[in-house]
Amino acid sequence: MRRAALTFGAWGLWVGAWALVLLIWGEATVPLIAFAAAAASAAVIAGYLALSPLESDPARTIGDTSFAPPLIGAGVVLTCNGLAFGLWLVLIGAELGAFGVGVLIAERRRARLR
Amino acid sequence: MSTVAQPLPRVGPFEWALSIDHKRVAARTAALALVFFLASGFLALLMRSELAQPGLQFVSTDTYDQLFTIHGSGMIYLVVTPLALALGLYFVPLQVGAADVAAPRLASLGFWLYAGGGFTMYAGFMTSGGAGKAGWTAFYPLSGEQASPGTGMDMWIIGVALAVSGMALVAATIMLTLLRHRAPQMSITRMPPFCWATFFTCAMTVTSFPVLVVAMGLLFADRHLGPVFDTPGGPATYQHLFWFYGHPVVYVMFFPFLGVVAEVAATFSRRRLFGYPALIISLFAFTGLSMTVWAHHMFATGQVNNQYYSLTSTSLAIPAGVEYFDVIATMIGGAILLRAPMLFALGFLSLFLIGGLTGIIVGSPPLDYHVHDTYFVVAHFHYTLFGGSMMGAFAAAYYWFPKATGAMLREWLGRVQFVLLFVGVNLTFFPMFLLGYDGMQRRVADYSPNAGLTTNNALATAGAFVIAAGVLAFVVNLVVSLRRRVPAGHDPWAGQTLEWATTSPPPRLNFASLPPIRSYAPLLDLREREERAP
Repeated sequence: MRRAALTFGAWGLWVGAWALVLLIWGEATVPLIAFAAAAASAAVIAGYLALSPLESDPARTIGDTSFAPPLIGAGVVLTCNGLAFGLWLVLIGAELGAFGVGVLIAERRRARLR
Repeated sequence: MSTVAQPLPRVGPFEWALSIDHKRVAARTAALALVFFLASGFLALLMRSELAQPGLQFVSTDTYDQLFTIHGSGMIYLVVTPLALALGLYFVPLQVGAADVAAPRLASLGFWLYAGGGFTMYAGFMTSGGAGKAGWTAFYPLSGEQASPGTGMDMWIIGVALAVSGMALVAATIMLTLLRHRAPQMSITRMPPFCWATFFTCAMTVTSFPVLVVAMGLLFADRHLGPVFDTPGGPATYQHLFWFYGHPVVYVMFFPFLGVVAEVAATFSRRRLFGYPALIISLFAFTGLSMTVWAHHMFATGQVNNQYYSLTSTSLAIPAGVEYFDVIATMIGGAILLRAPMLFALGFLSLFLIGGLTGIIVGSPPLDYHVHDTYFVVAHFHYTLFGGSMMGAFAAAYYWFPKATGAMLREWLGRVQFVLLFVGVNLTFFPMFLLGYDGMQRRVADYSPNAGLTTNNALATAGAFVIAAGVLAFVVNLVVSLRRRVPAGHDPWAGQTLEWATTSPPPRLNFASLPPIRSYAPLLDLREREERAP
């Protein structure tokens, strides 16, 4: 994991260095914020990798199929489309999404009991 | 050597749709991307038919605006990016010896968001005002409520946000798999080139894609809640947000295919990849630089530091040169086998080179001023995206189809397809360089008959139909090869990486056991050891 952390850390430094060059050159705020955010997110991932151990694949506890992703996905898609078509579609989408989350919780509970 | 596991059993469409096995999620993504590819390609044929001669023959200017918007959006958001990530989702776990991806439900959710986004975007055609018509970039104020009123534009914004979010989720699962689920002996410095390329692809995706989702949210708010970008500097801010996604995505659509081509070149040259460490370091440098070049798309706005972005853009030639050198050096002295995957890999190298070299021209502000928003730019990015990425995608298709299905694609149809595509790409896109240099603007449905643009436009249209014939050959090949299966065996190409150590198609948890892993090419190591043994 340390080598992976090093890769991300170095990538963050690389982007940060280019941000510094841009700052010295004198540039507007938006590009600098975008740069800094990219460098910071690389640093956060590097920190996470440095602290977390490599996982070997655990014994599989989830099934081969799941209803939750299509239900949650359809919920999100309909909710977003509801922003253009009206509250009725937002509500249908939210309901479907909530049902999907319920299915996900049930699937996870069933897997834990197995 | 490694596994005697049973391949995946055949299942019905319902179970296939609900599966969270990374291989089936990836296959669903690739299949849907192929559908969107055919749809967006059909729109391109309509556009080229309209432009074959001066005057309006088939469509109105308003319809033409919708055609080029959905063609470009479809190809980038719904075809090449998902194809690139689908390859990673399928083959990265196999190449690093993992049983599954890190978060299979999340990957599946990514697919459903992508599918919902794609259908939302296309459904805009069914609204009274038509689909989105502000181009794939949706620059403000063209994409604002006043210039582009109607539900179709809203659906375009929602569709893009959903599809891009879905792909960001898929990328996150691939990256987590690479970082946390590698086989014990598979250290990060032993990952195959394709895995490294996908690793950097995912790093760019998770960093840059959320910015576009934010931009789409702000654009939607601007259209319905009040001014967000309708302020001094607002349109430039939108462009910054857009291109912060829009340039890295070019490499998201390039790196995985470069990884494929590197592996295909090594396998079909019967050699170990030349300069593995240099390739990885160059990918690393490329990734960092690719995050720093976005505002070269904004040279003509006069609101960015042209020298800085020109410097970073031109610097990209250095890592790109190293990558080309490595792949070509791998082939030199090798026993090259010119099978269909290798042909497409060579097509990728030659056509992407034209796209890359003309990128240096548009990366230079004085030259960019001359060709900005002309067909020169259209030719440049089609050489990179069709000539490059799609050639790489077809190389991947011919290389990995036997692994994914257990059946070979027909070689002769592959050769026919390659010739048609290679000729078609050059016939379509090379005249566009001349058209652009002569001043033909992009995104126009008509041009003057006296401008001297007619011949090159006619050639480009003829080329587009040659490309269509090539794509048709691929579809026929898919159908024939799946219906009349020629069994592929586990390792038809004498592959070098771990995916060839398992059955074709691979079992649910990929491997029953793994061979020893001492480099990025464990199977090549084994073969070399067997050859050395007395």
